[in-house]
Amino acid sequence: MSAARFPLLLAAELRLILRERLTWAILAALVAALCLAAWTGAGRVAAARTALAAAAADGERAVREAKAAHLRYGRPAAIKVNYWQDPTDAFGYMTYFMAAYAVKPPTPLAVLAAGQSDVQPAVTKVGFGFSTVFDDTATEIGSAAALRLGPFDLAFVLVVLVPLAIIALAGTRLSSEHDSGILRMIAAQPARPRRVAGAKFGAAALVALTATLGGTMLALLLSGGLGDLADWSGAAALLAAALAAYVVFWVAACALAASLWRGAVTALAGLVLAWACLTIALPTALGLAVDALAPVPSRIAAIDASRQAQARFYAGEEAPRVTAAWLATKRPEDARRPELADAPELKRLARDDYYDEALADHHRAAGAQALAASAWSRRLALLSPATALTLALETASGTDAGRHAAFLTDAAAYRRSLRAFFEPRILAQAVDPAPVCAGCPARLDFDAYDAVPAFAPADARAAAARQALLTLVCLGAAAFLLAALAVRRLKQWPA
Amino acid sequence: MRRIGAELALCLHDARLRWIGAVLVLLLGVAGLGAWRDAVRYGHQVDAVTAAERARWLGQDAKNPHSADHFGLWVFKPSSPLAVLDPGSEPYTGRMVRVEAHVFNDAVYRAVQDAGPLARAGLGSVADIVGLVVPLAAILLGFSAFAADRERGTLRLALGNGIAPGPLFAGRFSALLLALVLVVGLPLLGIGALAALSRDAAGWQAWPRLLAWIAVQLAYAAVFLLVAMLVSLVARTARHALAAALAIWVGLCIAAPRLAPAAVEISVPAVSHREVRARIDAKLRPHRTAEANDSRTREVLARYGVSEADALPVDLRGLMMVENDEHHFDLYDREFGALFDGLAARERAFAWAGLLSPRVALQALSQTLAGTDFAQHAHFVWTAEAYRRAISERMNAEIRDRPQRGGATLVAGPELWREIPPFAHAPLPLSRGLADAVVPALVLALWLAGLAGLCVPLVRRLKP
Repeated sequence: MSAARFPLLLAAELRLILRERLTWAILAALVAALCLAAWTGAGRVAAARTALAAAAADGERAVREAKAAHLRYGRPAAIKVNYWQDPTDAFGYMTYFMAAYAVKPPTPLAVLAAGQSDVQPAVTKVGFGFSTVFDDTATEIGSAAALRLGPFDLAFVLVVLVPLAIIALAGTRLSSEHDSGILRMIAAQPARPRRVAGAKFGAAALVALTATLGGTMLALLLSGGLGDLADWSGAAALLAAALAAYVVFWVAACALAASLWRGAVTALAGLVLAWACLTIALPTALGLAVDALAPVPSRIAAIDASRQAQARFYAGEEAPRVTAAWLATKRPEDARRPELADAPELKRLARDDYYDEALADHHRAAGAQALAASAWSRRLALLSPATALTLALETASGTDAGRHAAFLTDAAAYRRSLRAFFEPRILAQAVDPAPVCAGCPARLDFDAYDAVPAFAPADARAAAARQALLTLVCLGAAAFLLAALAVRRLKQWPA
Repeated sequence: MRRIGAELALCLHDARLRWIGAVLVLLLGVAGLGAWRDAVRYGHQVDAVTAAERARWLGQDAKNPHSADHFGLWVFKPSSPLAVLDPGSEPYTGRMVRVEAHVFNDAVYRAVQDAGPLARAGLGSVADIVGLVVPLAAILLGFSAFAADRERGTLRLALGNGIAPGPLFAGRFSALLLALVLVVGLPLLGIGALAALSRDAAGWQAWPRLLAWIAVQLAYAAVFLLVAMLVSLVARTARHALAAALAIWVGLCIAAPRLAPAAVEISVPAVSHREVRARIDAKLRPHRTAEANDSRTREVLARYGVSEADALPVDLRGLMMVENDEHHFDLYDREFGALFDGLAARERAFAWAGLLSPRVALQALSQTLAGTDFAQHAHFVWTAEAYRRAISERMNAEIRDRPQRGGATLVAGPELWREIPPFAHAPLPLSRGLADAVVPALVLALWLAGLAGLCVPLVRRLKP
């Protein structure tokens, strides 16, 4: 058979595959699963957007209430106002009024994968207390059973269920003909095994690609969970291409299984076991490897260090000494004023610096570990097609571990920027207290509520495009390799 | 019994059992010993830091009791010895709580936060291996039970020789179940015994928990053994039986468990932790204003019929702290109580979601018996909160009952710190666990009974 007639053979196989009831049952189940997953994803994204809106509203509420209290206490009255009730006190505002949040907004493709979002909250209130030791204490306690079972998201359907659908569609092509004896009849025709296999698996690939990409698009559109893709079209296109490569990889795996000529059921069983290895066993092994390569530093050791610092600070004359030393570095000209070393707000600022210094090594170790774990995960994920695609989907969704590690670093930097904003103002108020008016309950004159720095979330677009491209290259290479192996084995019909 | 012995002997000679057994023992051993090593290390760290915290609490300088209340301490959740086998909800819930004045702190630092992004792939613990791999092992052992004989024609011979299908089925099933007991039950017993003997198991009733837990895992394995044999009864060839059983495995162990959270979320709506926190903050804010404080001060002075704080028989600041805390306690009880009730209702719903997949029923049942379920976590959180309240109440009472005049500040010393006992947490007893386990146990029993019921007519109509 000439190459020119191959499209005819492909079309015939396509008609054959589309005529099978099993095909339509598989496709219907796949599209239903995609729609359900997109729907749960849309719910998750909506919840994330609600949390972000609530954080923004809370920030505005804090400013509004501070301004109202400023106005109320800026008039003579008999009421006593403590510093934690007084927004004219920069320290009081910073510690008790301000509602500043570091946020990780969902990307326009966030509907694709839950990733780490169910265990790592995307909104964290930036505070100046000492109840916690690390920056990642924001917690959203939810159903542990649900977390343990995992979400039914698009990443799960695309990475785990789509290969099963492909195996069901294409896993017995050629090998069932081998079992039933029809292969002998086909072999008697003037068609080479590669052409026949190419038509059969090509048709299966066309159906699987159309169903997967089309079904995903349909599910995304129906769910309404997609954001504005204007600046994300490149990343989305690369992701679609990576998904296509993943589909082709599994079709190629089916072709390779068929080329072993061991019969349909063996091919099917082998493919399911290969799927279990690639989607469950290998990712588990890679997870263990990441744990070994980037061991988690002890949280308990850090807590112990923080408590040692706390105990040291409050023992004997350490607190005044630390405060005086801190003041000498910040305002040398006022360091000798005895009342300043006793000022509670300065003592607190000095104490927080003291604690930060005591925990600096632990913070560095935790930050480095988070970055190392995400970096190793990114590298090792490429060893399994399933983890590679998962990572690409999570990165596009902005729910990957790398983005979260960077978010925590940014949140810590934001906390430092807030501290840098307030510290000179608190110092100035302590050195030269100036009340709003005589006889007013308001103690001081802070009113720069609108000037407090806001958190600027990082853009996840470049990382998403980079990861999708890397995944596309890896999956494309893997698919090509499997296809080449299958083609090589399909040189001749079985004896 | 003789038939079971003969079938078991056949089974023991099968290379398949040796391979499956070796893989299972290896997987369970690696996961179990790794978890045991981590648990022992974590236990030592917790013991050391708990002792250090107690020493720091007792070694505080003389200070105002409210400052001591703010100094506070950290308390740590004791882990069930059987967490080595099934960590249950433990990785997904905080392990330590900062106990301090005024604040109902969350339990923080969930193990899952520290785990790498690939760690949730599916086979991280012994329980995960039992949930996913043991069914596969049961299928690989049982798929050929009748289909292979049918394919070879030996089933016709056996039935022709007058062997009744019922006893034949029962004998093969019993033999394969015994084989599973050997390759699954014994390793689990070994790891569990190591955990129970080497870790502090006081109050956990570790041995009865362990035996019940292993029995449940074997019942779960039996479900999939029945699935495999059921398919084997009807399949034309062993390979068809294997393909069908694998498809069922994918459906029941991989796909259906992921549907359970979505189903539970729809059927049991629960308020979110973030909303609860926001509501608490919103209710606390008006209570903290200068005006509210002023109004409460005037109300206290009027209650005692005096016009100045120094004329009160108690310390005004101490009394107001007592009353403030009572207000906060009520609020926390209401709001967090509703949150934890909602979460507990969801966890209970997962037991019914076990009707979708025996793996979901097993998860609910297994963690309850292991003492790692959400009820244990909630019990720890509320015990820590009760401890926090006890400290605050004692410190506030000291200030309230020893009024200081002229703006002086009360200073207390080690005698007062010693009045606070060390944090002690007794886990929920096994009887409570058994009560919680009724529904998932019933669901798992339904799976067993349903599959056994399906087998009966097929065995009766067994065709060679």
